[in-house]
Amino acid sequence: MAIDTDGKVTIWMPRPEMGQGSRTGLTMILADELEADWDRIELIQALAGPRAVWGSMTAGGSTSIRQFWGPMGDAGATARQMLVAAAAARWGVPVETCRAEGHAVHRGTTGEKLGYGELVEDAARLPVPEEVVRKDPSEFRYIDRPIPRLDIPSKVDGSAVFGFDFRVPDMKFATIRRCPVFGGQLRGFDDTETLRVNGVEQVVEFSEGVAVVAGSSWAAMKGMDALVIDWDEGPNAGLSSEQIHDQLAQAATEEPMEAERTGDDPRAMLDGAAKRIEAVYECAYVSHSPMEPMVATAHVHKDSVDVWVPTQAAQTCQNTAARVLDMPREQVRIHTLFSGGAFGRRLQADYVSDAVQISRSIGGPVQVFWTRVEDTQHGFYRPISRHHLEAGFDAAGNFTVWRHKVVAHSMSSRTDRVDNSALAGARSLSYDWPSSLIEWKMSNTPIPVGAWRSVYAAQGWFATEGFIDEVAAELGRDPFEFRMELLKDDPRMQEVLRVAAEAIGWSRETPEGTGIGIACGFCFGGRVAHAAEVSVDSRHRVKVHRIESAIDSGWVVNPDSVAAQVEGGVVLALQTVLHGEITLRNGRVEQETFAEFPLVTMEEAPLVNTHIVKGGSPLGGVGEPPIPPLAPAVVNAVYAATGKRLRSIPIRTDDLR
Amino acid sequence: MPVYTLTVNGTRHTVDVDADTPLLWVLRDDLGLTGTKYSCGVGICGSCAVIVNGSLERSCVVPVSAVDGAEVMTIEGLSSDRSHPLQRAWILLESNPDPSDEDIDVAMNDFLCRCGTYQRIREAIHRAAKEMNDV
Repeated sequence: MAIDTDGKVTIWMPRPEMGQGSRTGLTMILADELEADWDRIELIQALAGPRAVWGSMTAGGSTSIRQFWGPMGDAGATARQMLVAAAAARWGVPVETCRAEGHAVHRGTTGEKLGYGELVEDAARLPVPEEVVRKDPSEFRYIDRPIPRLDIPSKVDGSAVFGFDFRVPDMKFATIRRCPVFGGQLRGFDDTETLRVNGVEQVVEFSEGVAVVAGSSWAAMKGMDALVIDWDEGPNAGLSSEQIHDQLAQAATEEPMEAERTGDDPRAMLDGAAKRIEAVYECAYVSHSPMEPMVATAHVHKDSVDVWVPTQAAQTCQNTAARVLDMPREQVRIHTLFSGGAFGRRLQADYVSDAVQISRSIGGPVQVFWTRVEDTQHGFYRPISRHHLEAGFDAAGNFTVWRHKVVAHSMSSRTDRVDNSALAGARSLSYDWPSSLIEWKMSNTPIPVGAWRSVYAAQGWFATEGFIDEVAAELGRDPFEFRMELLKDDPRMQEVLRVAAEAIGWSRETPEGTGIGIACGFCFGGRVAHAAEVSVDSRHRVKVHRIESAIDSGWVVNPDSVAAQVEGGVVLALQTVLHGEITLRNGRVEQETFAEFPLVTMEEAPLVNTHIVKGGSPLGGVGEPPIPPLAPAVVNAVYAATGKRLRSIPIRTDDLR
Repeated sequence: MPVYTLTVNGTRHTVDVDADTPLLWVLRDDLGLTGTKYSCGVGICGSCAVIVNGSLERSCVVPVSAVDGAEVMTIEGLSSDRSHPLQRAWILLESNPDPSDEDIDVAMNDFLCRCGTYQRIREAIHRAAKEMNDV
């Protein structure tokens, strides 16, 4: 950070803004500790730099606020201490008699004060204090207040610069095409017709496919449509969703790896059970599909490169460009722009690789953009998964054993050990099972997979929370009370459940065709419970009317941002329940745009009431935790409304006939 | 290439582009008005919506030849001081100054948002309605 002699504070922001609001939250933390005036702060998005300096610059794992609570607050507090010391020295009084408030240092109760701008030159010459003194929370002026987002005004008047909006002089526009079949490659192309399109300048091959370079976006797209491409479709040309489904079903019959075991020998408990119930839960591939497709603008110079890119992971972009161009990392300048949504897709730097290769080929600046179809068909999808659940009961009807076998695509691809990350929502839960067995079976496919907001937690919790409801029903127990009993060692989870249940009016009677369901989940440091009120009409269509959501992510920096993350998380997760599915035929993704991969519409969007539960330390994540409990809360509510269990998402109307 | 005339946010422009060029790309690449967004490219999501001669159009599927001589308003033209209620809401509020949640849902249902801001859009439209009615 810097302070000018006119008092202006400049903050170099390490983390990107993709709509999640962390630039505002991080500014609040620093400004609060600095005692800075809110309207005298300017943000500069930091260029990608070494981890030793910046830490991780990646917005992932719901970490931006919690990882930078320390550094951003310490920066503000350190500067404040130095400004106070400079003022004390100027006045020749003890430091203890001076205090910082409202962009100035005040001298005791004399009414005398010196502005930060007047003090900064003196302060900068002082040694940096070894001990950072942070404020007492009672002194916070911004933290835990609903401060409006800093990025919103520019997004409302159209002046915000997203990836597609960046311009540099003499820039060309290019759009790309990858082999529609995963694992295929370019064999050749005929660009005769393409080169006849007005504005098209050249057709360029790069490692992953082919690009049409033009003077305008439209010319590039038109040129691409005219390009005759010969693909070597490779070994996956026959792959279909049916085959992948069968592959996972087959893997489920094979010997799994034991991931976790609690209580009495669960296998013996299952073998000796007087009664067992079992169910299979399934989750489809889901695309991130941010509203802004993949895009990056690159300018490769003689011995350096500039890339302007909407990204969650500036350092990954830097490493990728350095590797692709065989250039020292220090020569790669990554300028992070606003992202038009991300959800995990922009953790990948594939589109940066495209852009720098194409810029190198044409010897100048170029904006390389993907069409919606490319974006839909070349994602890093939320992994498909299959969950086998089983519960056992003794002769007296008591619940004695829980078993959850996860079959999924592993991002680590390690066959020699359990992929614990893929077991989020399945293992290490705070449920006090009488005994339990959690198992893992990897079943990888050629489909690219990646982190999709909450990664594996959504799939694991969907199965867990759906099946707990089934166990409760088997026992004739209230599903809320049953959870509360099993969660006696996790009072914070109990509290979010209690708050959500109370808000929805848990025990009330609901009209015919409507129902209330509840589910909870924990991931990335946040506990969330959603209570859902749904109705199912005579045509078996599910409508989610209201979600009462309770979140405990420790303490809170910006409560309005927390509510926004919960509301947005509900809508994103609801899409995976109602619509979201990527399917394969002949090795290629069948969906092209929002026609085949529909998003939730305003009419479908439920009212979401967010209840923030301040459970105390540690500070947890907010972005991802609202995702996992949504799907199970909805299917549990559908069960309450209809008596039918939905165990596969997205749900199908036929499942309710 | 043919020449077309457009009045965008009150300013007259002449552009020399192919007849099939969608209005979206004329606004973005030729006139530098990047507030109008590309997202689906097939007229489904509404990211590219602009007002053409008073009615709302999906500029990604409207060829420039179809709007020659038209008055176009983009997000940049709504207000210079960010004080004006927004595009579709504006059209809605002209015909229905006090919309219910259901009215808003119907009017806005073909505008897609992946970040799930729908609830806040509803609230914003209600607030805009109130402010306009108070004037």
